[in-house]
Amino acid sequence: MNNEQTLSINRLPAPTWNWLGMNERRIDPISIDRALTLQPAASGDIAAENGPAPADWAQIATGMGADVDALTAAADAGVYQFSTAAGAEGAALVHLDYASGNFANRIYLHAAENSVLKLTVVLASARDAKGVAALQVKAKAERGARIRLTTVQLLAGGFTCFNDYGATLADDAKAELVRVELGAGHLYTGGEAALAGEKSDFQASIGYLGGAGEVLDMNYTARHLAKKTNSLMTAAGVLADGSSKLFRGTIDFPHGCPGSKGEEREEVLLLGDDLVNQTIPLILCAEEDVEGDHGATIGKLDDAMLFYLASRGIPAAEAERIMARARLETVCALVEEEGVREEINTYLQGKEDA
Amino acid sequence: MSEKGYLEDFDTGFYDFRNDEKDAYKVDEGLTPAIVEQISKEKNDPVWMQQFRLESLQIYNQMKVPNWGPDISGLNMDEIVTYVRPKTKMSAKWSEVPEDIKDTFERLGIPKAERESLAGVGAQYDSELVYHNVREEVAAQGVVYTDLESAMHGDFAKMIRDHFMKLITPRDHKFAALHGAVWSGGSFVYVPPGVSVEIPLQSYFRLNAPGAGQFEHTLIIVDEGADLHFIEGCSAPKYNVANLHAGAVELFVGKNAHLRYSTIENWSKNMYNLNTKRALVEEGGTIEWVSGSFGSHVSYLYPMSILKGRGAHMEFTGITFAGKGQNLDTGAKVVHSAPDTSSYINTKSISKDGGISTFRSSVVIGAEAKGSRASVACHSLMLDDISRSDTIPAIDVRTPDADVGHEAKIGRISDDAVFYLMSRGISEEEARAMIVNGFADNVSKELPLEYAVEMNNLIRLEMTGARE
Repeated sequence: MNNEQTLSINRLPAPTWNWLGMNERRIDPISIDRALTLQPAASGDIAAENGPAPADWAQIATGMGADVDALTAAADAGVYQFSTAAGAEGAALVHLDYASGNFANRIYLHAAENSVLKLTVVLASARDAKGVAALQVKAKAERGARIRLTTVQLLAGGFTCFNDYGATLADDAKAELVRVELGAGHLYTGGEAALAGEKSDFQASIGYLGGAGEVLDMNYTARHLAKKTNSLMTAAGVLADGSSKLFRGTIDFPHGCPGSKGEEREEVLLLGDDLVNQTIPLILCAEEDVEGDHGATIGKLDDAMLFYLASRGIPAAEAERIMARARLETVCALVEEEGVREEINTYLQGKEDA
Repeated sequence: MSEKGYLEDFDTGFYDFRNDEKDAYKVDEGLTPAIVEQISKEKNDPVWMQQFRLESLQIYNQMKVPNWGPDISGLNMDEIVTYVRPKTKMSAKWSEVPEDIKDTFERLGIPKAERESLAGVGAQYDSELVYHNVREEVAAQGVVYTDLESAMHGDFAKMIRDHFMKLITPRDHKFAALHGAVWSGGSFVYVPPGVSVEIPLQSYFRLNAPGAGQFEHTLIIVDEGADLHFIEGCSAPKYNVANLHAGAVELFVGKNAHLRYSTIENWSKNMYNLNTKRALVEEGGTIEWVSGSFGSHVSYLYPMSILKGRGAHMEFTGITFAGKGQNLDTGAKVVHSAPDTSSYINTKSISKDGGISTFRSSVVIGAEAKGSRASVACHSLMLDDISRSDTIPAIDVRTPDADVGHEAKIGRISDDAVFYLMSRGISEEEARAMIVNGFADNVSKELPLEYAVEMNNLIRLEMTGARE
């Protein structure tokens, strides 16, 4: 279970100037102790079992890349698989409670034709725990199927978290990815969707909070491989004093995807001094009949807004807290389980109090 | 509506004419210390420059080619002639320029433009300037516009030594080092404090020799409160061997000064254009880049602005048109390193007939640049499905007290717009050309009229093969 090689993760699909430090992230070698045991709470018509990696596991590319395949495989614990049969609908909630140590888990989601599969994963730990939490989820949505993955990351600052995702979509299939990233001192995440079927659709909603001294490195890609595919990736983030964040987002239109549309948006609220906010949104296009659009808005709280709130008796620090919460709430509201939303609130409250 | 037709590649014959290389002096192909020393001797370099060239060569040999960007494996430096001197000396009279070279610039419209709309002109042919002149009334204001080599030996020797390759150092990248080793030609401009040059200066670079490189160096210093518009043009005949352009442009914009630097680049499509441009802007100063990239086989071109003084400002307006056989990687870089600085990047790119256009940018706002604002907008137009257009914009912000906006769009010509124009009796080809011209309007409106017409002609050539 030792990985003695430096990891190269979150590679930019088209590299740029090396001095910017955005082309990839290199991580010192990591040894994995074991996998956490999954105890999913399921509802509806969903099957869940642990087993060997499915035949197409290696073919599904993820946002973080092959080195995270190797890292998560190092636990040597197989792949936990959730599946829905044709036309069925089922959901599961997995709570991963990390103690100190280095852990890696792999999950496979398979939604048969016209089925709906939803999985929510909460990654949490005690406040004083530390280590590595690595999770890789790969998803396959057959014709007309819908897969919704929600991950809520509430780890302590002593954790390094790898949160990786890859999906492949058949005709008319849809993948939704909701990510709430609020903890971990070092957070590395990625997501990639291969829109291989006509009219397939990928929607990613990412909310992140960079706390003091925390490092966030993200890499998301939508690959439009078939006609009339659609993607929308949105990120809403808050960066506090001393945090460092890099967000890579790529819309890829290779030849052969006419009629496709891709959109990407990032809004970043900057709070405190001494922070690093890096963003690199790419559009790669080899097709004429497509529409690609990306935008980023980066800045502090509007002075007029602060003045207005001050005139209502709300001090600047409280105004910042309210606006940061509001920014994150746009993504947190997408978490369907009420209990998990309460966990998020409790976690945020604790972080604010600290 | 009828199915869209594809246009064949065309011959840009207007620029594609050549002269025999009779009587020209050239160094051997390749890059060795002996060749660099030979160039230095030919140029009558001061000792410090000779050493600088040799040190640059060492750095060149140590550095690697970029591991990003277009493929340049077709460029073999062992086959490039780095110095070609036409058999003439620089003159301030066109009548003293050899007939064939004068005819070249006549056909390019340079003397006519000088008479009608320019304050001064420099004309470089291969590695050397063959003509340089500035209007008397402009010179009387204290404006210096001359070739760099002459200036290096005259009253401005110290100023040049203090500034030459201080903004673009040989360690910046491999081709900056190459430039430091073999540079030749180019212009030196100095605008004294408070002087406003009402009409533009222009340098035109023509590379005639096949398999040659052109490495001109442009150094412009616009002193406090001064104002200048400088125009740069370039072209070459097309050969079936690789040519190389690795020039350097260093611009120093003083306190509250203003400089507009406009370029219409139309190198031939066998050219590797690995050019470097950079500006340093002091407090309250403004640099404006207007850039049209139409030529070259491969381009790496990203003018960089360093906003050093409080309130410094940068605007970059650019268009890139990549046609058959072209891979044009263009964009801009800006570093905000003082409070209340601002930058605005607005680019358009067009890809057609298998051409590859990449918009690449970086906006860096340092911790000290509080109150700064930056905006990046890049719009790309795909004219067929065999071409390629990528956008790679990087943003790095290190202060919370900054506002940064970015937007990018990629798309095609609207069928509805083409249909509308065709319903008014305009052919499809003409309609598409009109729409592309409109798409490029942000650049053409920033150019003096004569150059806007020229740019529109280039677009028309690319779209229809016909020149007005």
